[in-house]
Amino acid sequence: MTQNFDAIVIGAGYIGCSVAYHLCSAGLKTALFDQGGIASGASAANYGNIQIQDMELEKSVELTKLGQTFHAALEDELDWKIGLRKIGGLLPIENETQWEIMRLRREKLNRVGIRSELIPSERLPEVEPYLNPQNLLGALYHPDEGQVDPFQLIWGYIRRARQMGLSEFLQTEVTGLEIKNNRVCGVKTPKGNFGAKNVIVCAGAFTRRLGQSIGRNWDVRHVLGQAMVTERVDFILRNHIASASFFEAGGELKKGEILANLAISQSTHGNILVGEAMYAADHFKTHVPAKSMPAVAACWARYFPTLAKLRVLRSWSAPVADTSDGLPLLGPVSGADGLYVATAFRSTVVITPLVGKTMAQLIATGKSDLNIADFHPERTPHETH
Amino acid sequence: MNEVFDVAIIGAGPAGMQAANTAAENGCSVILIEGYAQAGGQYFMRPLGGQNVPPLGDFPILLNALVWGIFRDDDPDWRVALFGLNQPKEIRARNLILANGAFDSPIAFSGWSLPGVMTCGAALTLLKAQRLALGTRALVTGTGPLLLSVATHLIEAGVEVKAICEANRLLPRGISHAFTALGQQQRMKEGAGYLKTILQAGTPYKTGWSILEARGTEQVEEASISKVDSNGRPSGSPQKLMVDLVVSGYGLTPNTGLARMIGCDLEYRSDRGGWVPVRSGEMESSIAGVYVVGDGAGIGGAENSQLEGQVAGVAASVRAGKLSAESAATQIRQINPKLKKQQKFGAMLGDLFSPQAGLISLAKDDTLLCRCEEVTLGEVKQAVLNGAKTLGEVKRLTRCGMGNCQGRMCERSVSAAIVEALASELTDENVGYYKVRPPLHPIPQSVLAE
Amino acid sequence: MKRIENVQRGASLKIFVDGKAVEAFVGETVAAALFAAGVSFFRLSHKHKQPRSLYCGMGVCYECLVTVNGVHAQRACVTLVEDGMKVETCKEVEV
Repeated sequence: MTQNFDAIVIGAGYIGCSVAYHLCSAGLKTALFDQGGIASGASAANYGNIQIQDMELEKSVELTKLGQTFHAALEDELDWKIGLRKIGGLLPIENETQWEIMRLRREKLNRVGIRSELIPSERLPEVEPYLNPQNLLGALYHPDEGQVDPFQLIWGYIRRARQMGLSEFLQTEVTGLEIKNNRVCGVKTPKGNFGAKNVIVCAGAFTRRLGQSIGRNWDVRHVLGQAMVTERVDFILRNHIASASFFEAGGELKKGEILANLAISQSTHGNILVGEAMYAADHFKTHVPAKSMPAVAACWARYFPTLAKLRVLRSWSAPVADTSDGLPLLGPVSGADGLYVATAFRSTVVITPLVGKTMAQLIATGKSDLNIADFHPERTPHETH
Repeated sequence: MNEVFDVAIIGAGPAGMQAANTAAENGCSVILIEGYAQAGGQYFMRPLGGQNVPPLGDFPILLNALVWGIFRDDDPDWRVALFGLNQPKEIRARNLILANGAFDSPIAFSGWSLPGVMTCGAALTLLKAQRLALGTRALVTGTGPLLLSVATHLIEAGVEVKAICEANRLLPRGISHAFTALGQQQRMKEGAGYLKTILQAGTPYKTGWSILEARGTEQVEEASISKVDSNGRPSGSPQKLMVDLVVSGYGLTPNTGLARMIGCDLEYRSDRGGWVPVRSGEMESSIAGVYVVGDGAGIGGAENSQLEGQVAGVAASVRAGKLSAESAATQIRQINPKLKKQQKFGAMLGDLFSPQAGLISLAKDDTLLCRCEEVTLGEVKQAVLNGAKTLGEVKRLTRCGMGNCQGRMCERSVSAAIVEALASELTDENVGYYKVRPPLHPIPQSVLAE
Repeated sequence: MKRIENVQRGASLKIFVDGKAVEAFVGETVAAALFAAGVSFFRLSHKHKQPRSLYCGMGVCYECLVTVNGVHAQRACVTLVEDGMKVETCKEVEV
């Protein structure tokens, strides 16, 4: 006997759990599928930063600004502590090219009402005392950012969703989507088929192959990203920090090449999250390559030389989804009524609550308050990968 | 070191030393890597520079070399990352033999994190190698023949052993193993020697008993003990003992960190200490060219470890192209009968002396299960009440397993607590195990950045 | 805890424990030397400040951590003493 649901969510990360929660709250009989456990992909590898640092600046502004407003009320809404704290964001600048990029970025951000300030290197010690200002021209600074504990946020959603009757099929890979007469009707798994009126794909890096199972060429690619975590230490970092070198045009990562850019955050528990290294590959394996940790540590030692004695406890690697225009896939799939995609968000935490609400709205009413026209899942026909 | 070795052996205990010798004898280029200051492992633990260790062949041996990661990426060869003063950063090898031994199974009971509570292995090292008298009045508690050994060494060092509590009842099950036991003359002689010392000292040896609780302010000052039923649950009225040392020895847990890190398949074998690598008859794991031997692949004792080391040494030599399949078969044929005998002995020990599942009831709600992150049993139970069903979910909710030891000391207890809380739904197997990622031991960023 | 008497040990040397000079012997671990010097606990746990000491004795539990010659979080049970070594107990990492 096939089980049938009002909605099936594929992917139990930040987005999938938020969507599942909001669908359950809207009274839909919902099932959540994941090939692993709760938060077993990129979400578990995440720092939990509520940030606008890598936000795309043209079309995702509304999404991000609105997204920022939801976290404060979440603890009450979910009746769960998510470790929310307010910190700033800092982008250290190493050369003139980066300075110019950051200057333009600051202008755009200020124009859309996001506080952003260019800080010269002499003033860096007052903003981030342990950061080595040598060889830095300065930094772009955003005072109004935040941080949560990723696991607690996701758990807050999942726990409430379970209480509202969510069905879960973990360790169950969705291998295909069933479409009949231009309507989605369910999903295929090794444990059998399951029926649903709506299917929402929140599968991160794995979204592409799900699309391919129905002959669609969704523009989702991925890199494997590595980071590591140190022992606990007093709260000495005031901001999360990401090198402005992220923004320098680097082109595509060459196969086998490991690129490291600084991305640092001190977690709500005091451990310092140190990253990131990344490499391009077709696989999804989560082993940590030999060069990743030394590359990240070298960045760390350059920027925080006095903290080089801190011991690393653990490293990890996860497939992280991205799109060629830097905008997420969010919205219905044409020619397959009831099929939606919600994935490939940069700085996912900042918009997690908003995306969940938006999907529930879309499915329940057919419309959303948030304008999602720019995030159509098939806006960029992606021929090759 | 630019050389690519045929075989790198990690861990210089009985299994590793034998594996290295056998592979070298068969013509392989071999390197033996050990994290401690001397070879011998826990079994041959002795004062620095002391004798009584099997001789090692003429191949490089790295001491004080901690393996923190093993990588392969797109290479055909393994890259073993090392940390230690004056050590090469990396060793390359075509095949690996992991011989990482075991550690005392950490059993949580009220007060187990007090100074003065230590494992059997810790006590034996301090007594035999460091030659320290560990206090004045001791309680020895746990299961297995090692309790007799540690009690004897304590008595000989002038420590008063107030009681030895053996959690398992040995009769009538012990009788069915009489023949197996009789086939082990050397061990029987040792055991008889220990019993003589213990009897002469008047030390009570109480079977079907266990510690309940250790108490004290800055260190252990007293302990209470009681009878336990066949499941390990306390069943009688407690007795109090004034002690300043508690030695806890509830069997051994295989040290499978490197096998997990590389991605070897594991299986749950309660008779061999828990999660162990799946292996072929030639000690090869699910990953070609990676062999796992000795107690690190399942508890079996020192003789078993040496024989397994031999088998893996032979198998790796064939894989390295240094030994023909026929010659290998001849060598294995000679080893197999001895190995079977040891396996029978190991099975007997496993049957008689496995720590019972009910021992988790020794932990109270305010007892730490994760010592590193200070997570209590109560917090683990709360996580389960909040919907956590696997070890991974409990870990993410409570942070157990996220500290310095990365779950080595708490995996067993947290799993047992989850199974206990969800008795109808879960077994030790489907509750899962902690994934291991580099670094295997915490290392400073400065070392990585070099 | 005291050293077992009438045992042949390595050469005598001096280490400093929290500033105090203490005799030790070549081949001893820092843990053994600390125990013999009457030190019963090596650190305080982070959250609840509980006294902690050696548990596994073989370098896997990370309870016996002390600062050695300024380097924090060294496992006393697998670190051998050296002449002039400075050992500090109950010290968290300093940044």
